[in-house]
Amino acid sequence: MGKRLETSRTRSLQWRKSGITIGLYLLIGLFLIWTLFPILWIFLTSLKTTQQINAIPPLFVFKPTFENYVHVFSGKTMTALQNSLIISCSTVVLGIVVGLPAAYVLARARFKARGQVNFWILSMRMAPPFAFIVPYYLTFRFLGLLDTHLALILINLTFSLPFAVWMLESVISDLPAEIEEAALIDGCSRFGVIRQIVVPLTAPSIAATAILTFIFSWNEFFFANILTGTTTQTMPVTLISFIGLMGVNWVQMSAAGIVAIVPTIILALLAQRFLVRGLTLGAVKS
Amino acid sequence: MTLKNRREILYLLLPSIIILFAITIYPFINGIFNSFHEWLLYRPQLGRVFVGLEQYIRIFSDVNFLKAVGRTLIYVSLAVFGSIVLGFVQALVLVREEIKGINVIRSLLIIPLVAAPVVVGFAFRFMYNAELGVLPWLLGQIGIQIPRILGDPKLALYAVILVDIWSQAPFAFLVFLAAIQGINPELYEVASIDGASYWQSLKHVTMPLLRRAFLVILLLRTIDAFKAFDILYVMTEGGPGRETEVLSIFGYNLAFVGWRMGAASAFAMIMFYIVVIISTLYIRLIQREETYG
Repeated sequence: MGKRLETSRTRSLQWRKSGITIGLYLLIGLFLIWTLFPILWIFLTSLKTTQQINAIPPLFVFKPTFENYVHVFSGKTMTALQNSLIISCSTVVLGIVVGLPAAYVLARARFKARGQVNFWILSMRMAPPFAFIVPYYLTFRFLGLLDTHLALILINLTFSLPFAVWMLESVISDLPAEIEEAALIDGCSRFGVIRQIVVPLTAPSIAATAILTFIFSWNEFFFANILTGTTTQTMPVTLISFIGLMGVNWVQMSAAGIVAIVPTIILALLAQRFLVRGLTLGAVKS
Repeated sequence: MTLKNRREILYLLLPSIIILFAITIYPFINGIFNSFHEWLLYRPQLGRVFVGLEQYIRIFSDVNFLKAVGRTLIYVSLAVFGSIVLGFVQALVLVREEIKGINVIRSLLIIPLVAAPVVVGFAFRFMYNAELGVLPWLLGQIGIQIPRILGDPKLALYAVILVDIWSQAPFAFLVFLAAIQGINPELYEVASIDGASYWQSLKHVTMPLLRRAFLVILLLRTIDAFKAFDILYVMTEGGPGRETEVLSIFGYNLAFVGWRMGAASAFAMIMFYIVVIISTLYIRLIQREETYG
């Protein structure tokens, strides 16, 4: 009797356990469909002809065409890709070159205004881009900088520089200071310490900071839409131009959209380990 | 180690401080100055005329501004709530290391967060499309007929909020996941020895230890949802009518459709102070958490 009870109990436990497992995998399946379907759908659309997207019911299996991608990699979308690359890379380099020494000082030095500087940097993460754009627009207009790469690179500094300082400061504070002290005693300059000790030791974090800044800058639309013109527009802005008088050219826009999101997805996977720290400004350590 | 040499501090910090100053303080002062003026870019001959507090008074008595405030409140609360709930559930499921391919699944789930919001907006606009969209068709298959989702004054705002949740839930997921992984596993062992069920240990072990992560997510999500522009602009431009015109779209129209720079500057100041108030409140909360938690 006791033995029967025992086996029936373990059996029901096993049933429950496999039930939970099935439920778990079902849930994961739902998450994946919810997350990936929109991406998958524009990918499929990018391989369709205009006739094929008109089909009812919508086509999941069809003969793909690569014509939309051929179009994307020629003409104005190609220019937009170049603009995006130039602007994002410059934003990254400027942010890190200017931000790293500041991050080092904030991590190591004790001076009165340190708290205020930190608060200021944090508040820039919070400030709405709208608070920046109107004065910037008027200034760039006055200086004749509208529709130039430089204008966008400068305004992108409003997020890339505070971000670089914040990320690198938290990384440098985690480094033991003893090595730097030894180098300073040996007569190394402060700048030499940064170049020869801090940079090599924090290289992975610098790379991650660069990657995340690149992603922010690459995806940035609000500033770019207002400050760039036909020759300087970036990838996100150029997508708008697929809206024509006769409606939206969905197939080509989808191809351009896929081209615009693939680089950031690859980069994000490379820097995944640093995403949490980067996106929460170091408020949560991973 | 402390940096003592003042001159060294200055050399290293100065470039950043100057640039930061130029890119933040200058536009801020410039913005305050402009907000006390009337400056219509489409009428350059009028120039910049001092009007005192007139711009602020006009904005606060504008019905469309007050409606935009209401819509922003709906947008922010639902988008933040939705993304936190979804991200939390995802984190609870995907913290289980025994799941096959767990790392690949985690990576796939964060894709929406790094995909350009403009592309996301257009992808959903296409899926919502009345003639070509896959969503009206799917809904039609289960007997719900709403062809023009984004053209429907009652639905448009919620349709856009759904997209915000789609793109931002991974943020909550990532932060919750990291926080749950940081919980000492011994706490769960103790709980299970004491006979606690999964739900009991969730309520008494996991949830209390996630308070800080929760506050951080709440703060950053609230501020980002408040600033949200790209997806809305691409999907509806504030339409149909003004049904999805939240504050960021209202400001954009003021500045770059109406070209009223004085009014836009005053509006930028208002936006800025709203964000300052929100963040100060939350930072207080987090600090209190650190002292007493």
